[in-house]
Amino acid sequence: MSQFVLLLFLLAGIWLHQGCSAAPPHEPGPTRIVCGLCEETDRFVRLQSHPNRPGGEASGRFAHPFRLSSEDWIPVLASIQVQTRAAALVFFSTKQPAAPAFSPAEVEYLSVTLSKAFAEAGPEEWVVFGLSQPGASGITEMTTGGWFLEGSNLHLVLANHRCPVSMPGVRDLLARDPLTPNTGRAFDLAVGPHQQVVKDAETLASLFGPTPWELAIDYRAVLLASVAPSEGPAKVRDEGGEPQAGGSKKLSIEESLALLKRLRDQGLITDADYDVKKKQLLDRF
Amino acid sequence: MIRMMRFLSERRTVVVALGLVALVSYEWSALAPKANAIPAFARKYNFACNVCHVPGFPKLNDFGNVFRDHGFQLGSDNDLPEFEGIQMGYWPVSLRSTVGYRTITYSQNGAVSGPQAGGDVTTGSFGFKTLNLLSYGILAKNVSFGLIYNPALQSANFQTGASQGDLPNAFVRLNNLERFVGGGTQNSYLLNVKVGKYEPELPFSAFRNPTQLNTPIVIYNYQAGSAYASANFPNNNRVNATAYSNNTLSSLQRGQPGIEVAGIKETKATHGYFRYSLNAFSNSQAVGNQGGRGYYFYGHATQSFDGYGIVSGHRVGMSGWFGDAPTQTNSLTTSQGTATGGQKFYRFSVDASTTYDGQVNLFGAYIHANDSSELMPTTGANATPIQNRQDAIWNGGFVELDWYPPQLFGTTGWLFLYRYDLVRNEQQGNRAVRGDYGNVDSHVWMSRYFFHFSSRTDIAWHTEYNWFSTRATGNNGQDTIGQMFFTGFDFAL
Repeated sequence: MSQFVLLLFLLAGIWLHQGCSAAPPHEPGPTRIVCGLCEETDRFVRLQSHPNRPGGEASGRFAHPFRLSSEDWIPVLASIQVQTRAAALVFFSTKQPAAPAFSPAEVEYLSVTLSKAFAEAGPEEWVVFGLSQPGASGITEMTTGGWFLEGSNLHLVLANHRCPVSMPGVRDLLARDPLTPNTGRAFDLAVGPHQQVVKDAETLASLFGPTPWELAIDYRAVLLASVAPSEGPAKVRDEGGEPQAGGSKKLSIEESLALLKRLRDQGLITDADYDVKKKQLLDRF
Repeated sequence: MIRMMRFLSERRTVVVALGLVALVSYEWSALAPKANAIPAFARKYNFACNVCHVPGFPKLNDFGNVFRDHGFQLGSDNDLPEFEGIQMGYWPVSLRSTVGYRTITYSQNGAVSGPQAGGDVTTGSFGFKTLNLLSYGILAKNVSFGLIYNPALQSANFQTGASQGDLPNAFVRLNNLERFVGGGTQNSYLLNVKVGKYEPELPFSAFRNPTQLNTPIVIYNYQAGSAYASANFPNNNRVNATAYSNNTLSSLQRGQPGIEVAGIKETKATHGYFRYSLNAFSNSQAVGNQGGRGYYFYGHATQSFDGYGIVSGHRVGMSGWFGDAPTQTNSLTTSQGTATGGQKFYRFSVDASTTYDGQVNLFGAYIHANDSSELMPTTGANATPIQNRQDAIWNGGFVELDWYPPQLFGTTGWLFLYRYDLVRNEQQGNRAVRGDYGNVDSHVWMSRYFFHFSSRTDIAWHTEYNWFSTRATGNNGQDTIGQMFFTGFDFAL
């Protein structure tokens, strides 16, 4: 009997080793801090390489460095919404209403620090972040993840969202490797306009649990949508298809035109997009 | 130690199996992203398991211990069962079981004659170990409860036959009572009363030790006069199992019916906590087929420094047990709970725990035990006490090292454990029995790796190896050596 069990383990080890060759451990690489504001006691934004993560190798996948002003980051951050999962029993769950992923204070902090970090990021570097706050239960809640730019899409990997953490070792781990999920998917990303969830390729690793959410955001379209005051804030839709409010403030016509001109001058939108949007604004006026 | 190493070299199969399991665990760890979450409290508060556990069930971390000391309350409206924001799917029931492969070996059984004389007995099988239905929570603010039910299962439990049902825990706890006696502030948890059947506040919880299902802590289950065989080994009548009867309390860890007054207070001077627990238990130890009606008392107090003392900080404590155990059935009735002839026993222990870097916990306890000579009849109940009886006195202890690295092989969710248990008899209850009869040495190694399949379940790959010896308990006076190897899945939902 013992030899039979040993043979089973040997075969399992060989099988897993073959699978593991495609999914090595995710250890972060070197880390850089690019501004004073980027590193605070309860929040940070850093540049970090992850050589073993998909896309982390120096293959030129990341279109870094990337320049986006802090005020342009605000509508992008405000457009990201999450829904907490409420488990009924073990095998199914319902979703709570969508809510902004980041609070106004977090949006303000991230808009400044992400702008600085992306301007310094190398083509193999992720822009990772971590936010801590006291939760309703009195223990620290952490939100961690990472960003990168690929083509015209900003990608957000949201590993943890308002995740309660009580163990110092877990806090240190999430601070050191913000792309590591501490728990299974206790939340969903509420996909809004100009956003798309990136599906993982099927791997052996996916058999053993979910990987962090990855959201691809057409930031140019989000910026363009934020310009038109009559459309109001960027909207997302809940499970029933009903639109939910986002977080951008409304602009006057003058402000909208000025913003539109700035986006064109910075190369964030094309001349064609500029002309179409300007005509829409003037037609409303 | 030399005997143990010789047995390891002779049992290369076990050593190789352990190595392969470690390899498989490492490979598996490379695949699995991390997630812990589970039972009822995780669902209620939307917590991951490692908010309260180290890093997953069953061992509690500092936060989890304080949560438990506070009667499973955070002190906010989220606690209330009628809280409007409670997860709509919350129900306060969790399940736990363990499945896998287990092999055990007895050696030096001391068979007198025949082809198996002096040989080993080995058995191994796939199977399961227990099914716990757990329900803990609050009925109302400051009224908490706990229930554990182990149903009777007709299926064989690792080939040891059908199991019997039991209710190890059933209690209600009233919290924060100091408000009504003029002391303490709201939510100070200094005075709490628990009534029912529950695991005593032992120096270190047996029920929450990761090895509990396979290798219980020896000093909590040792009875002078009998060969210690670990609760998970099947009865072995080739072992000289009982040199003399002893009606003392057979287990300190089993759920006991009683009442507890307990409390916890943050001590600013030490940046830690003072905790106490005072109990009066009904000693339901069976004599013949009658449960007893003796009482015994148990108390435990701890003081921690720079933390709770499990994940951070350090802790010292002391405990004492004193009371009666019945020795006579009641000839006037066949009712339960009427056995008589209570005789005295006591235990006294000291314990300590220290931590390092939030990932290492070294802890242990030392116990001194005394069972009155009046507890030693010849055999069974109502027997005439032996002529050369005397108090049974023994000393024992354990030291355990737990290591839970935040990340290993690029993944989280690891727990490694080593524990050494020993018992040394100072004086046997029967003068005719050799002084070191029943002395115990036990080593256990364990690795546990938590991976997951959803956000509402928790599962660990658990591997454990135990080697123990009991002195002079073989039929011909030789030592009995026992070994246990288990690998499998321990899961809860």
